Amino acid sequence: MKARMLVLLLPFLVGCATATEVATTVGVGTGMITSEQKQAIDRTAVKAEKAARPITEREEYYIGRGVAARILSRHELYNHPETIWYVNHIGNTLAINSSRPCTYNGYHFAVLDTDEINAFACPGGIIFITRGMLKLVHNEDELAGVLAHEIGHVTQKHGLKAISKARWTEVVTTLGTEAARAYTGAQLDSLVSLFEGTIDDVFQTLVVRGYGRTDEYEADKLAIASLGASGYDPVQFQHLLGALGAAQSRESGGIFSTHPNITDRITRVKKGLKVAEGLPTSPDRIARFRKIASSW
Amino acid sequence: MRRPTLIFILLFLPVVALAGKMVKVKVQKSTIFQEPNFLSNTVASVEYGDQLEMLDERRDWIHVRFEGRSGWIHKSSLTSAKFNLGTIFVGTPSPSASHDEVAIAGKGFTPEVEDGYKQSHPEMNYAMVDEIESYRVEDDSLRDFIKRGGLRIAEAGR
Repeated sequence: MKARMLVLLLPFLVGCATATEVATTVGVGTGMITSEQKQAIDRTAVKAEKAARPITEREEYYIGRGVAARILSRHELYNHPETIWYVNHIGNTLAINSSRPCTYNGYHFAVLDTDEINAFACPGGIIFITRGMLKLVHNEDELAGVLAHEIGHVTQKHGLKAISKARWTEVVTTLGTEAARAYTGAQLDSLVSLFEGTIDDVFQTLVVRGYGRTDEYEADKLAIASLGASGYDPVQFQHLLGALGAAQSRESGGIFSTHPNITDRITRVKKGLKVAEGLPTSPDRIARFRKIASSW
Repeated sequence: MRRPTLIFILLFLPVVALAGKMVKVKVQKSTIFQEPNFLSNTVASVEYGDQLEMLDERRDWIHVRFEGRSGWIHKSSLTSAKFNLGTIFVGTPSPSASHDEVAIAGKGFTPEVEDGYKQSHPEMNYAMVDEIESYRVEDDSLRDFIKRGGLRIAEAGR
């Protein structure tokens, strides 16, 4: 009997947008609730869903731009066209082999003109690598490892996790439930202030506090996956961490204070590697890296 | 109803339900390709809010029809509340498909809010951000870079 009822309801369930609608449709079909009660429940669920709605990818993009603008208020860009071309080609190769190749405005890779060894991923896909990091890597595969790790933070939206829940709830509350065509002056002032706070939340996590171990380990794991999918040698990622570990003995702060212990990361990365020995690198890849790295 | 009949209906229902479903583009610009591969030929360019008819699904790629042309688009470009039938029955929406982002796009953090922030914080270097966003990688150039470097694009995206 139950199976027959389910089959009868299936065409209606397919048209349901939410799990609540599925439940209420079943409820009406089985006589547990009336259609009026169903409508009331559905309306309440839609309101609740709106209040708890996640940050859209378009909003993620504007937050990312704000974080990037803030980083760039402290750092200059390294305007070397060949290097910009090179990192963007490596980065886009990795991005299309990631779990999230398309973001609102795509991935863009830029170099910060500082000797500090670091890299940052802004929500939405603007990724910074410092000139200090460029000087640290030994080959294209290690450089790809840095970018793949940062892409992992973007695909998983790690930066957005830094946004205070209370702040985001206030954003949604400020917007209200009606589809207003334009903001009032007070509404806009409030949203600008909340936008500033949101950018600050993400900036502090990216640059000062760090994401937290779980997110870093996840980004390492995803880096190995996208490196392998792209044809880069994932073993070089382990070598990159080794180089970072060696640099850590000379420097402190920056990337070393925002990331977990390098030894722990290497141990975990080793476990995730499927190949015992490195893959051969194409001669072209070696040559193009050598040529461009000489200018760093 | 006998159990085999029910199983039969459940198995084929997603295929029937898939055709004709509309999905929206949630990224600023995207491409419909001839094959489910980023290096395949371009069939059409689509923009934010464009509605596409869903025909089929293969891993992370969706076969769609748009303005009389059909091809493949990566699912990370798309949004739809009814995107994946599995989410309805299992009840765990996938992070990329659970909300109609385009419908609520006019609200929240918009260009208007960004403009307000820029005015109150002129020290933020948006000019450089715009410069970074102007960095473009052409498809042919990327194809060549991948080929010469002994790199690859995994089939069907992954």
